[in-house]
Amino acid sequence: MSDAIRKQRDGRSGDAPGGDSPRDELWFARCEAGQEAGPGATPSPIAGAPDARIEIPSQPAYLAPLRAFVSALAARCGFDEVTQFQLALAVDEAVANVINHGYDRNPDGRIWISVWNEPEDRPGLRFVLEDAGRQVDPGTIRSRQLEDIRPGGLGVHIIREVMDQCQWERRDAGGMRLTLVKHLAHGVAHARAEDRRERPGSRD
Amino acid sequence: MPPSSVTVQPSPLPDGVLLTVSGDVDLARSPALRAAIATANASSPKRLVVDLAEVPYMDSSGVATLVEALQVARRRGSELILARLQPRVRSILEIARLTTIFRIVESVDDAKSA
Repeated sequence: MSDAIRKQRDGRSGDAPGGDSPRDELWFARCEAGQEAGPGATPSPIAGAPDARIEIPSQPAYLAPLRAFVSALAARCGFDEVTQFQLALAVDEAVANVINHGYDRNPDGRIWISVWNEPEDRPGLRFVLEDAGRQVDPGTIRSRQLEDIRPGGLGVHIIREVMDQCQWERRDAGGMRLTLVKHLAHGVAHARAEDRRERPGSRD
Repeated sequence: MPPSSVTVQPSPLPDGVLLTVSGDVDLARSPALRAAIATANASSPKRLVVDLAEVPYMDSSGVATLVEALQVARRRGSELILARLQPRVRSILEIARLTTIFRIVESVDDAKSA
Protein backbone atom coordinates (compact mmCIF):
# COMPACT_ATOMS: atom_id res chain seq x y z
CA MET A 1 0.00 0.00 0.00
CA SER A 2 1.37 3.39 -0.92
CA ASP A 3 1.81 6.07 1.67
CA ALA A 4 -0.73 8.19 -0.17
CA ILE A 5 -3.39 5.52 -0.01
CA ARG A 6 -2.55 4.77 3.60
CA LYS A 7 -2.81 8.44 4.45
CA GLN A 8 -6.16 8.75 2.75
CA ARG A 9 -7.42 5.63 4.47
CA ASP A 10 -6.28 6.82 7.88
CA GLY A 11 -7.67 10.26 7.37
CA ARG A 12 -10.93 9.33 5.74
CA SER A 13 -13.79 11.47 6.82
CA GLY A 14 -17.39 10.62 7.45
CA ASP A 15 -20.36 11.16 9.65
CA ALA A 16 -20.84 9.26 12.84
CA PRO A 17 -20.82 5.70 11.54
CA GLY A 18 -23.53 4.67 13.90
CA GLY A 19 -25.76 7.65 13.36
CA ASP A 20 -28.60 5.54 12.08
CA SER A 21 -27.39 2.21 13.32
CA PRO A 22 -29.65 -0.19 15.13
CA ARG A 23 -29.43 -0.51 18.86
CA ASP A 24 -29.00 -4.23 18.85
CA GLU A 25 -26.92 -5.36 21.77
CA LEU A 26 -24.23 -6.69 19.52
CA TRP A 27 -23.93 -7.27 15.86
CA PHE A 28 -21.28 -8.56 13.58
CA ALA A 29 -21.09 -7.81 9.91
CA ARG A 30 -18.84 -9.76 7.61
CA CYS A 31 -18.85 -8.40 4.12
CA GLU A 32 -16.93 -8.73 0.94
CA ALA A 33 -14.89 -5.77 -0.22
CA GLY A 34 -17.04 -3.23 -1.97
CA GLN A 35 -20.27 -4.30 -0.34
CA GLU A 36 -22.08 -2.31 2.28
CA ALA A 37 -20.49 -3.01 5.62
CA GLY A 38 -23.65 -2.72 7.64
CA PRO A 39 -26.09 -0.19 8.99
CA GLY A 40 -24.61 3.23 9.35
CA ALA A 41 -21.40 2.35 7.58
CA THR A 42 -19.41 5.02 5.82
CA PRO A 43 -17.01 3.08 3.66
CA SER A 44 -14.11 5.01 2.26
CA PRO A 45 -13.90 5.21 -1.53
CA ILE A 46 -10.22 4.40 -1.17
CA ALA A 47 -10.23 1.68 1.44
CA GLY A 48 -13.57 0.14 0.55
CA ALA A 49 -15.85 -1.42 3.10
CA PRO A 50 -14.23 -3.00 6.10
CA ASP A 51 -13.79 -6.74 6.10
CA ALA A 52 -15.52 -6.92 9.45
CA ARG A 53 -17.26 -4.47 11.67
CA ILE A 54 -18.70 -4.49 15.18
CA GLU A 55 -20.67 -1.94 17.15
CA ILE A 56 -20.85 -2.06 20.91
CA PRO A 57 -22.25 0.16 23.64
CA SER A 58 -19.82 1.94 25.93
CA GLN A 59 -20.12 -0.72 28.60
CA PRO A 60 -17.27 -2.77 30.10
CA ALA A 61 -19.34 -5.96 29.88
CA TYR A 62 -18.80 -5.92 26.11
CA LEU A 63 -15.03 -6.07 26.35
CA ALA A 64 -14.93 -9.86 26.65
CA PRO A 65 -16.91 -10.56 23.45
CA LEU A 66 -14.91 -7.84 21.70
CA ARG A 67 -11.68 -9.60 22.65
CA ALA A 68 -13.05 -12.86 21.26
CA PHE A 69 -13.91 -11.06 18.02
CA VAL A 70 -10.43 -9.57 17.68
CA SER A 71 -8.69 -12.83 18.59
CA ALA A 72 -10.70 -14.73 15.99
CA LEU A 73 -9.81 -12.24 13.26
CA ALA A 74 -6.15 -12.31 14.27
CA ALA A 75 -6.08 -16.10 14.18
CA ARG A 76 -7.68 -16.10 10.76
CA CYS A 77 -5.08 -13.64 9.53
CA GLY A 78 -2.26 -15.93 10.66
CA PHE A 79 -1.03 -14.26 13.83
CA ASP A 80 0.41 -16.59 16.45
CA GLU A 81 -1.35 -17.13 19.77
CA VAL A 82 0.72 -14.60 21.67
CA THR A 83 0.03 -11.89 19.10
CA GLN A 84 -3.66 -12.79 18.97
CA PHE A 85 -3.78 -12.18 22.69
CA GLN A 86 -1.79 -8.96 22.45
CA LEU A 87 -4.02 -7.58 19.68
CA ALA A 88 -7.10 -8.34 21.77
CA LEU A 89 -5.40 -6.62 24.70
CA ALA A 90 -4.54 -3.50 22.68
CA VAL A 91 -8.07 -3.13 21.31
CA ASP A 92 -9.49 -3.82 24.78
CA GLU A 93 -7.31 -1.04 26.21
CA ALA A 94 -8.32 1.38 23.46
CA VAL A 95 -12.02 0.73 23.98
CA ALA A 96 -11.64 0.91 27.77
CA ASN A 97 -10.10 4.37 27.30
CA VAL A 98 -13.11 5.43 25.23
CA ILE A 99 -15.49 4.11 27.90
CA ASN A 100 -13.60 5.82 30.72
CA HIS A 101 -12.53 9.09 29.13
CA GLY A 102 -14.51 9.56 25.92
CA TYR A 103 -17.87 8.76 27.47
CA ASP A 104 -17.04 9.25 31.17
CA ARG A 105 -18.51 5.80 31.88
CA ASN A 106 -21.87 6.82 30.38
CA PRO A 107 -23.24 3.45 29.21
CA ASP A 108 -25.31 4.93 26.37
CA GLY A 109 -22.41 5.78 24.04
CA ARG A 110 -21.59 3.78 20.94
CA ILE A 111 -18.23 2.52 19.76
CA TRP A 112 -17.58 1.26 16.24
CA ILE A 113 -14.70 -1.06 15.42
CA SER A 114 -13.93 -1.66 11.75
CA VAL A 115 -11.30 -4.09 10.58
CA TRP A 116 -9.48 -4.39 7.29
CA ASN A 117 -7.05 -7.02 6.12
CA GLU A 118 -3.88 -5.31 4.99
CA PRO A 119 -2.67 -5.96 1.42
CA GLU A 120 -1.05 -9.27 0.60
CA ASP A 121 2.36 -7.69 -0.01
CA ARG A 122 2.45 -6.83 3.68
CA PRO A 123 -0.32 -8.78 5.40
CA GLY A 124 -1.77 -7.83 8.73
CA LEU A 125 -4.79 -6.17 10.27
CA ARG A 126 -5.93 -2.58 10.44
CA PHE A 127 -8.41 -1.62 13.16
CA VAL A 128 -10.26 1.68 13.13
CA LEU A 129 -12.04 2.51 16.39
CA GLU A 130 -14.51 5.39 16.32
CA ASP A 131 -16.67 7.00 18.96
CA ALA A 132 -18.88 10.01 19.42
CA GLY A 133 -17.54 10.94 22.84
CA ARG A 134 -15.44 13.81 24.09
CA GLN A 135 -12.73 15.01 21.75
CA VAL A 136 -9.20 15.49 22.97
CA ASP A 137 -6.09 16.91 21.37
CA PRO A 138 -4.30 13.85 19.95
CA GLY A 139 -1.03 15.46 20.94
CA THR A 140 -1.97 15.13 24.60
CA ILE A 141 -2.44 11.35 24.40
CA ARG A 142 0.79 10.01 25.83
CA SER A 143 2.04 7.01 27.72
CA ARG A 144 2.86 7.77 31.30
CA GLN A 145 6.39 7.43 32.62
CA LEU A 146 6.75 3.79 33.61
CA GLU A 147 9.14 4.77 36.38
CA ASP A 148 6.16 6.41 38.05
CA ILE A 149 4.65 3.37 39.72
CA ARG A 150 1.02 4.18 40.17
CA PRO A 151 -2.31 2.72 39.17
CA GLY A 152 -3.70 3.73 35.80
CA GLY A 153 -2.28 5.25 32.66
CA LEU A 154 -0.84 2.04 31.26
CA GLY A 155 -3.34 1.57 28.45
CA VAL A 156 -1.68 3.90 25.95
CA HIS A 157 1.71 2.38 26.70
CA ILE A 158 0.35 -1.13 26.06
CA ILE A 159 -1.27 -0.03 22.78
CA ARG A 160 1.95 1.54 21.54
CA GLU A 161 4.02 -1.47 22.59
CA VAL A 162 1.78 -3.98 20.82
CA MET A 163 0.87 -2.20 17.59
CA ASP A 164 3.10 -1.27 14.64
CA GLN A 165 1.14 1.92 14.06
CA CYS A 166 -1.33 3.87 16.14
CA GLN A 167 -2.84 7.22 15.33
CA TRP A 168 -5.47 9.21 17.18
CA GLU A 169 -7.41 11.94 15.42
CA ARG A 170 -10.55 13.97 15.91
CA ARG A 171 -13.56 12.98 13.81
CA ASP A 172 -15.27 15.74 11.87
CA ALA A 173 -18.63 14.52 13.17
CA GLY A 174 -17.46 14.53 16.79
CA GLY A 175 -15.62 11.99 18.89
CA MET A 176 -12.30 10.39 18.13
CA ARG A 177 -10.87 7.92 15.65
CA LEU A 178 -8.01 5.59 16.50
CA THR A 179 -6.27 3.63 13.76
CA LEU A 180 -4.24 0.60 14.83
CA VAL A 181 -2.14 -1.50 12.47
CA LYS A 182 -0.31 -4.74 13.12
CA HIS A 183 1.60 -6.59 10.41
CA LEU A 184 2.50 -10.23 10.37
CA ALA A 185 6.13 -10.93 11.10
CA HIS A 186 8.07 -11.34 7.86
CA GLY A 187 8.60 -15.08 8.25
CA VAL A 188 4.93 -15.74 8.93
CA ALA A 189 3.85 -13.58 5.99
CA HIS A 190 6.26 -15.44 3.70
CA ALA A 191 4.96 -18.83 4.84
CA ARG A 192 1.41 -17.66 4.29
CA ALA A 193 2.22 -16.51 0.76
CA GLU A 194 3.89 -19.85 0.02
CA ASP A 195 0.86 -21.68 1.32
CA ARG A 196 -1.39 -19.68 -0.99
CA ARG A 197 0.81 -20.42 -3.96
CA GLU A 198 0.55 -24.13 -3.20
CA ARG A 199 -3.22 -23.89 -2.84
CA PRO A 200 -4.25 -21.37 -5.51
CA GLY A 201 -7.94 -22.14 -5.15
CA SER A 202 -8.01 -21.47 -1.43
CA ARG A 203 -9.46 -18.32 0.04
CA ASP A 204 -9.37 -16.72 3.43
CA MET B 1 -25.49 -7.72 28.75
CA PRO B 2 -24.76 -8.64 32.36
CA PRO B 3 -21.08 -8.64 33.26
CA SER B 4 -19.64 -12.12 33.55
CA SER B 5 -18.04 -12.67 36.87
CA VAL B 6 -14.64 -13.04 38.37
CA THR B 7 -14.51 -14.92 41.62
CA VAL B 8 -12.13 -14.16 44.46
CA GLN B 9 -11.95 -16.77 47.19
CA PRO B 10 -10.20 -15.71 50.41
CA SER B 11 -8.58 -18.22 52.72
CA PRO B 12 -6.44 -17.70 55.80
CA LEU B 13 -2.69 -18.08 55.99
CA PRO B 14 -0.70 -18.21 59.26
CA ASP B 15 0.35 -14.61 58.80
CA GLY B 16 -2.02 -13.32 56.21
CA VAL B 17 -4.60 -14.00 53.55
CA LEU B 18 -4.59 -15.98 50.32
CA LEU B 19 -6.87 -14.67 47.57
CA THR B 20 -7.59 -17.20 44.84
CA VAL B 21 -8.81 -15.37 41.76
CA SER B 22 -10.64 -17.01 38.88
CA GLY B 23 -11.72 -15.43 35.59
CA ASP B 24 -10.69 -12.60 33.30
CA VAL B 25 -9.78 -9.41 35.16
CA ASP B 26 -10.74 -6.52 32.91
CA LEU B 27 -12.47 -3.18 33.27
CA ALA B 28 -15.76 -4.91 34.05
CA ARG B 29 -14.33 -7.21 36.69
CA SER B 30 -11.37 -5.45 38.28
CA PRO B 31 -13.68 -3.69 40.78
CA ALA B 32 -14.50 -7.11 42.25
CA LEU B 33 -10.80 -7.84 42.73
CA ARG B 34 -10.23 -4.40 44.21
CA ALA B 35 -13.09 -4.94 46.68
CA ALA B 36 -11.78 -8.36 47.68
CA ILE B 37 -8.31 -6.97 48.30
CA ALA B 38 -9.76 -4.14 50.39
CA THR B 39 -11.72 -6.66 52.46
CA ALA B 40 -8.61 -8.77 52.97
CA ASN B 41 -6.60 -5.71 53.97
CA ALA B 42 -9.17 -4.86 56.64
CA SER B 43 -7.62 -7.55 58.84
CA SER B 44 -4.16 -5.94 58.41
CA PRO B 45 -2.46 -9.09 57.09
CA LYS B 46 1.32 -9.22 57.12
CA ARG B 47 1.21 -11.14 53.86
CA LEU B 48 -1.34 -10.95 51.07
CA VAL B 49 -0.94 -13.65 48.44
CA VAL B 50 -2.88 -13.33 45.19
CA ASP B 51 -3.10 -16.65 43.35
CA LEU B 52 -3.63 -15.92 39.65
CA ALA B 53 -3.41 -19.47 38.28
CA GLU B 54 -7.01 -19.31 37.07
CA VAL B 55 -6.74 -15.85 35.52
CA PRO B 56 -6.20 -16.22 31.76
CA TYR B 57 -6.54 -12.54 30.98
CA MET B 58 -5.82 -9.26 32.69
CA ASP B 59 -5.85 -5.75 31.25
CA SER B 60 -4.40 -2.52 32.59
CA SER B 61 -7.31 -2.02 34.98
CA GLY B 62 -6.36 -5.31 36.64
CA VAL B 63 -2.72 -4.31 36.68
CA ALA B 64 -3.71 -0.97 38.22
CA THR B 65 -5.60 -2.84 40.93
CA LEU B 66 -2.49 -4.84 41.77
CA VAL B 67 -0.28 -1.73 41.73
CA GLU B 68 -2.72 -0.06 44.10
CA ALA B 69 -2.58 -3.11 46.39
CA LEU B 70 1.22 -3.00 46.28
CA GLN B 71 1.22 0.64 47.32
CA VAL B 72 -1.10 -0.11 50.23
CA ALA B 73 1.12 -3.01 51.32
CA ARG B 74 4.23 -0.84 51.20
CA ARG B 75 2.58 1.86 53.28
CA ARG B 76 1.59 -0.72 55.88
CA GLY B 77 4.88 -2.51 55.89
CA SER B 78 3.22 -5.71 54.73
CA GLU B 79 3.91 -7.86 51.69
CA LEU B 80 1.99 -8.49 48.48
CA ILE B 81 2.93 -11.64 46.59
CA LEU B 82 1.60 -12.71 43.19
CA ALA B 83 1.55 -16.46 42.65
CA ARG B 84 1.23 -18.74 39.61
CA LEU B 85 0.84 -16.19 36.84
CA GLN B 86 -0.23 -17.54 33.47
CA PRO B 87 2.16 -16.58 30.65
CA ARG B 88 -0.28 -14.07 29.17
CA VAL B 89 -0.76 -12.26 32.45
CA ARG B 90 2.96 -12.28 33.01
CA SER B 91 3.44 -10.79 29.54
CA ILE B 92 1.20 -7.84 30.46
CA LEU B 93 3.37 -7.14 33.49
CA GLU B 94 6.41 -7.42 31.22
CA ILE B 95 4.94 -4.95 28.71
CA ALA B 96 4.24 -2.60 31.63
CA ARG B 97 7.75 -3.30 32.96
CA LEU B 98 6.39 -4.24 36.35
CA THR B 99 7.82 -7.73 36.78
CA THR B 100 10.63 -6.40 38.94
CA ILE B 101 8.28 -4.32 41.06
CA PHE B 102 6.10 -7.21 42.17
CA ARG B 103 7.23 -10.26 44.09
CA ILE B 104 6.19 -13.14 41.82
CA VAL B 105 6.43 -16.80 42.80
CA GLU B 106 5.69 -20.06 41.01
CA SER B 107 3.57 -21.76 43.67
CA VAL B 108 1.36 -20.91 46.60
CA ASP B 109 3.72 -22.90 48.82
CA ASP B 110 6.54 -20.63 47.69
CA ALA B 111 4.37 -17.65 48.60
CA LYS B 112 3.68 -19.04 52.06
CA SER B 113 7.36 -19.51 52.78
CA ALA B 114 8.63 -16.44 50.95
